[in-house]
Amino acid sequence: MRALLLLLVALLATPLSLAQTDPTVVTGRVIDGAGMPLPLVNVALVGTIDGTATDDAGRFDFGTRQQGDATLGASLIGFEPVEVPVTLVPGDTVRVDFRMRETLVTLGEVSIEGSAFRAGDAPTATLSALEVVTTPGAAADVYRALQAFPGVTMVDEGSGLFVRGGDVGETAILLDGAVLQHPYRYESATGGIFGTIPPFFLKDTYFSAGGFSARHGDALSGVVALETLDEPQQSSVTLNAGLAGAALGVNARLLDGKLGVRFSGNRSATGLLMAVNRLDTDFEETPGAYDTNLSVAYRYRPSGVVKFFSYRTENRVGARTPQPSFDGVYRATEENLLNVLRWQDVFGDWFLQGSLSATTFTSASSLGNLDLATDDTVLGGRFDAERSVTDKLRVATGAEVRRFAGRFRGAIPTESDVLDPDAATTSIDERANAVRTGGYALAEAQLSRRLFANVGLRTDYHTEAQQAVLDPRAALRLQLTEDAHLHVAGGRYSQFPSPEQFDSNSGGSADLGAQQAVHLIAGGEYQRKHLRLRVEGYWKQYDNLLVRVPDANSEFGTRWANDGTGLARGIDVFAQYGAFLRTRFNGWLSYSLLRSERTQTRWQGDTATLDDGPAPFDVTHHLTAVGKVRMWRFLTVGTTLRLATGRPHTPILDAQQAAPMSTGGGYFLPVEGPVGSERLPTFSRVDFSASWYQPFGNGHGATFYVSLANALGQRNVLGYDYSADYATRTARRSDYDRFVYAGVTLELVRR
Amino acid sequence: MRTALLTLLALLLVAPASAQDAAPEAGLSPSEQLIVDARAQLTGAVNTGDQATMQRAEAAFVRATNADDSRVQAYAHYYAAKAMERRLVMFDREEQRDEIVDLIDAAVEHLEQAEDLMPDFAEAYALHSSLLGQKVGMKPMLGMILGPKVGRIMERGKAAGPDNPRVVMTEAQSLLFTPKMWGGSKERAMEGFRRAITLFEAEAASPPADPLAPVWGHDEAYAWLGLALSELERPDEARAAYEQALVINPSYGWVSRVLLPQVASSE
Repeated sequence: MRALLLLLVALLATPLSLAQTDPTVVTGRVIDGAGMPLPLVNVALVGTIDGTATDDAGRFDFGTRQQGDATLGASLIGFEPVEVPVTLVPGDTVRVDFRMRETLVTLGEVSIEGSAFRAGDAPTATLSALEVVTTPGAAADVYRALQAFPGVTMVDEGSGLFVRGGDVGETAILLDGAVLQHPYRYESATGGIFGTIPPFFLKDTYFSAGGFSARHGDALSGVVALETLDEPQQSSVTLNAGLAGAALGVNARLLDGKLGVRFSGNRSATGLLMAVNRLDTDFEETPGAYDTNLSVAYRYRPSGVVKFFSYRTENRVGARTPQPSFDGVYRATEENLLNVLRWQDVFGDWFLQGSLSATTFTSASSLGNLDLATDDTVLGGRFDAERSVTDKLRVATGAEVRRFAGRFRGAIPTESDVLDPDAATTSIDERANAVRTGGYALAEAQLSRRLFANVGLRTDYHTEAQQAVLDPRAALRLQLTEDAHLHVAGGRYSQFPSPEQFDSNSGGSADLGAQQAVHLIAGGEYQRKHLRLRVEGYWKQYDNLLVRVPDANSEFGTRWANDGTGLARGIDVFAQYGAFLRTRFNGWLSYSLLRSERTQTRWQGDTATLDDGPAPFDVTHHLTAVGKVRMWRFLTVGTTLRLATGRPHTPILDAQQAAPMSTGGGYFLPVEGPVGSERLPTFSRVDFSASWYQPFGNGHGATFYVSLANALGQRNVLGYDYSADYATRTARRSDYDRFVYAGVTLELVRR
Repeated sequence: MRTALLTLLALLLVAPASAQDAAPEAGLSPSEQLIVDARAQLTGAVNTGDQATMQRAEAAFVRATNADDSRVQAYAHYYAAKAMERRLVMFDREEQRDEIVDLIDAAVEHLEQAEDLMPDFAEAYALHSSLLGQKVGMKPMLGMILGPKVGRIMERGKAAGPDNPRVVMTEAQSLLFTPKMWGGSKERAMEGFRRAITLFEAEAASPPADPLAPVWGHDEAYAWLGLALSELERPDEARAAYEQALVINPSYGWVSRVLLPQVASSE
């Protein structure tokens, strides 16, 4: 009976159940964006185990007993998944063809902002550290190498960074997260002659010419963020001797590499260099410096590192500086001590970093009747936290505080710019203090396959301005192909006056607020293998700019006020090929087209008015070409060519004699024409350099180098000097008429 | 009797369609069968280095992640990741970095699911940790972010299966690749592989009851032991280990075509 029953069940069950769930055949083909068949695509009914992988012709074919409305999905790593609705009718065949598109880029691989470059050895770097050092004319200076990028205007032969029609002070320079109060050596109104930090100390340099994210504040135009080296990979000794001095560096790798100590000392004495180049007569005391650096990095676990970086520089110079009414000698000494403690680690999904910094600076300078001593101490702290929430969303937040305490004392000219030793001076002894606190939050997101966004908000508060600013910023990136993208960025940028500008006793004004700029940037970039092309247009509107306005109540006749406006707009083009030592030829071409106008003070005798005109750094065309070729074995030669429209200057049309002074001598006050109404002649310069690397022993090496700056001996006009009565003017030409430099670096490695 | 007959009939008629695809291997559900078949396919393809077949097996595992049962889902995710990991060696480490990282990321996503579904899945943690380690190898910049995670996930694997031979073997691999300053040691790696081999022998003597539980790795443990010995400049012992790997798996291509010739040429 039981056997019979089972037989009956078997007979009945099989045909019945089959009749009810006749399979549906799902078939079709998968092709890629170019129409080529895609093999091995996983095609399946979503939510079921029914499906198959495509064959070499991209075809698929499988049976299913699912019924009714369903979703058919196709997926393959590296491609965007596709889903289509299907209706499954038992016994039928459903035909579906898919076209799948490649995933272009992921959030982690792209930067979503405008106008950023990197120099250093990070994989994303545009320039390696080695390229900074080997760029002809850059004099192994980080800022000078950055001057060869588009968007940076070279206004004289110093290393000041004038970014996209903005003044040199509008670009913030940070070291390991700490804002440098004195980023230049031999400070001047156009920055200085060199950067404070040599490139050998750096592992990464981030440079943004605008449109930067909410991470950085108190900068109207640009940001340079320098990161110092981590622990050394091997112990070594470096010796460097050249025409301008000698340096010794020791790198020690301790505790199996967990602890690294670097020490370096540099004595630069330019007497020999100036004598070789016959410039020694220009100086009472040729520029010289003593630098010492100690840095310690302790990697207490693979993800966590604490670095202490201490750097002391001392610079001295005495330069003969002819003035309208006397033969002056400009003397300056500077002492700069930087201490930065940096920490980075990862906890769970959070990447955290912080820094504490203390810098002290003292300087004394004199020229004519000007005799000024300043000292300041800046204490800073910064903390940043970043995490990936999903692979499509990343968030970051951070806070910083910076306390400035400064004192400046001495005698300054009563009439602005009248430096005659007999002209009236005002003696000052002022202190300035200010605290700025800031914070930001931002999110980076992948909105679709092609579209990425970065949205952030930043706030800063300044105790002297008694003002809080709120700066929203955003950027979008549209990925066209794996190699090409378009981007737009925009936002508001604020910068507070420097602390001494609040001091009404020295020509400042207590009633000052933040200066503002709005950036709008649009550009595109193409990068494939060794080739990189970038074009960017920008529009930067300034408001509340600091400018000296007439003030009858002030003994200086003027005071600072937020009465200036300005507009800078232009186009930057950058084309780069190759990488130093990795391709036989490497180099880049950068071109900037710029128009920059801003409110300036125009002096006509003893009266000042406000005038709008071209900014002093409005260089219409600026072309830089850098090329380096490995000629034979380890011999590399390179050249840099620069061509730039002469920058605007304000002509002096006439002069008024000032009331005789108590000493009996009279002097003249200039009567200026419209601001920026004339231009200097076109600037051109060609630099050459050559180096030979000679390896020896077990990993040791010597590099011999020689450079010829301003090879064509172009005596560029950098400005005009006037006679005491302003009746005649003479062009002030470049001091560097064919300038030779040579040296050798020896690196001894301990294996 | 008639009632019983009708009830039986009714049960047969309403039974889910999938139950009709009666498994050739007794007692396996269709999704389990899919995994078992794909696993055999993967093993064969790994021996011969047949990438297309590996990818077919991988696709099957991915489909099996839609099984009804969370246990089967967890295994399907694990094997999908394992198939992806097996494919990694097929790429050019210089020219195809992005492809490798994409594949690792996809595998890690599967493992995270497997760990959620089966929190004591020791092998999933071990594979997860090893993949993140390989990702750091491809993108050293990520070391800072991923470094601690690699160790943390490995610890979870060890906690879930302190005597799991695959966990022990993965940890030994990591000891072999980690620089000395971060605690790597070739000697300790060698000891780890030896211990894994003992555990594999025990596993072979009493295989796991679950037909989906991972059992791979016995042959591999000998291959890795040979590699560690050869790094320690003990070529004779290395050769013996490789030969032992071939005893277990005579068609082990990596050992017969790559490792054995290497040790021969170094002698």
